[in-house]
Amino acid sequence: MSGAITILVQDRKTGQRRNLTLEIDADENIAELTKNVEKLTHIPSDELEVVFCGKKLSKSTMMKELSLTPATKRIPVTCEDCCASNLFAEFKFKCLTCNDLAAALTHVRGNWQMEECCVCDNKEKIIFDLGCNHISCKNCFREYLLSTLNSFNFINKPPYGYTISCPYQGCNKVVKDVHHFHIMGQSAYSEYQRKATERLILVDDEGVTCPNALCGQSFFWEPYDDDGRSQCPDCFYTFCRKCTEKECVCQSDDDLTKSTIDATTRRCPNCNVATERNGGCSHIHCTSCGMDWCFKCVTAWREECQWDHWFN
Amino acid sequence: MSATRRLQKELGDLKNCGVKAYENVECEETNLLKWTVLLLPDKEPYNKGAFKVGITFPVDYPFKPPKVTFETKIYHPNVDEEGKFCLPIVTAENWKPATKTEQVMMALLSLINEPEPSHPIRADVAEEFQKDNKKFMKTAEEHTRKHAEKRPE
Repeated sequence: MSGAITILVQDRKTGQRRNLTLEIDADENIAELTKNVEKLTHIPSDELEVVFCGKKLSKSTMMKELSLTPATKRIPVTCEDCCASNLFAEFKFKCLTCNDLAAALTHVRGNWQMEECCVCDNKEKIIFDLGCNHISCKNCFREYLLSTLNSFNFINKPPYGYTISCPYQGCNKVVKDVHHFHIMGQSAYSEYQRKATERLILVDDEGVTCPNALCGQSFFWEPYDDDGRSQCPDCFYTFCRKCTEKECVCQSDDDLTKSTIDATTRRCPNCNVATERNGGCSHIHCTSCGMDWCFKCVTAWREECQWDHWFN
Repeated sequence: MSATRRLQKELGDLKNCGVKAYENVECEETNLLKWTVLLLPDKEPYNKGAFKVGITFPVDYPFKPPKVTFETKIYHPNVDEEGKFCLPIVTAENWKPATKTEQVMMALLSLINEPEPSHPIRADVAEEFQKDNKKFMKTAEEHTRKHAEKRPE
């Protein structure tokens, strides 16, 4: 191990600081390191104390005893279970009571240049930035989320799920982690989760809503070893997915509800939601994912559709 | 609260921006949520008159879009007899809270100056616009002379 390291030299009396870049060698000890610092700073080496990771190092400590890795700043580790090599440590915070891992909110940052919020023009210290530099303050972003929740205007964008786009006109950047939505408060967040799940169930063939009148929970059923029955993970009601009865009454294969839905709807080419057209032109604006498509071609709305399929 | 502050700022900015395409930006004396703006399109057949537009802001502005309608009658493929029109940036699903009224006015002006007959509200007017443009221009010009407001000097 050898190479350059950056060290911070601080005068304890005046608090003055400066950075130094120094060539080091694995077979050096701390005494030799302080000699090198003396050469560069003209501070007598016996007045220098070396602190590393919060610990004062003795003059005889060898450089190779320290976990100084090349510039990557990653700490190499070995896994005792699988013995895989070239692993690096990853640090996470977790709650000791509920075991939940803390998520890093990557869209929240400090307002370093004290710029104006694109919604209210105020200059606030904590801001949201979805990676496009259109910044909005915490308050405005929360209001934006709550108002979007109120009319459930979230857009379905896999793999992020139901999310929201940048508040700036014409900007399509979206929130990539819905943990950010906790800013709305616990009850609004729960409402978001419930509504988003319900929407997702609508567009997915493996989604089902619990028929128990007191429950109504939406969930995904496991496609493995399927016998056509599912148990609601919330109220534990077990039912036949086809007839939604506790004791199956499916006598034959024809399910009138399903065949009626299949006969009267077409599925959105983007999100697969069953869509009925009850009037108007062939131009469909999907209320689930926001896609514009042609009911006649069942593809994205094109110029030809504009001319030929406007009215049947 | 936030609606009031932002509307006051926008009203000030709009009155002092010096753009010639609209004038007489006013709000009701007792209600900051109701504005009128006089639009001055610069293309024929609408450049001989001025068109009054009413803007109603919701209480939760700017998180919900304003409602904009024509108060002056206009003969246009994209505006109906009641002054309603379809402008994507002020629809509920496309609205962005950072959009300012000035941008809405500019978008509306460009729709007036450049009709979109492929997205018509009045199918008969759109058809006339495409198939008999001369007749359309004549009717629209007469309509403007008869119903539009005078342009400010």
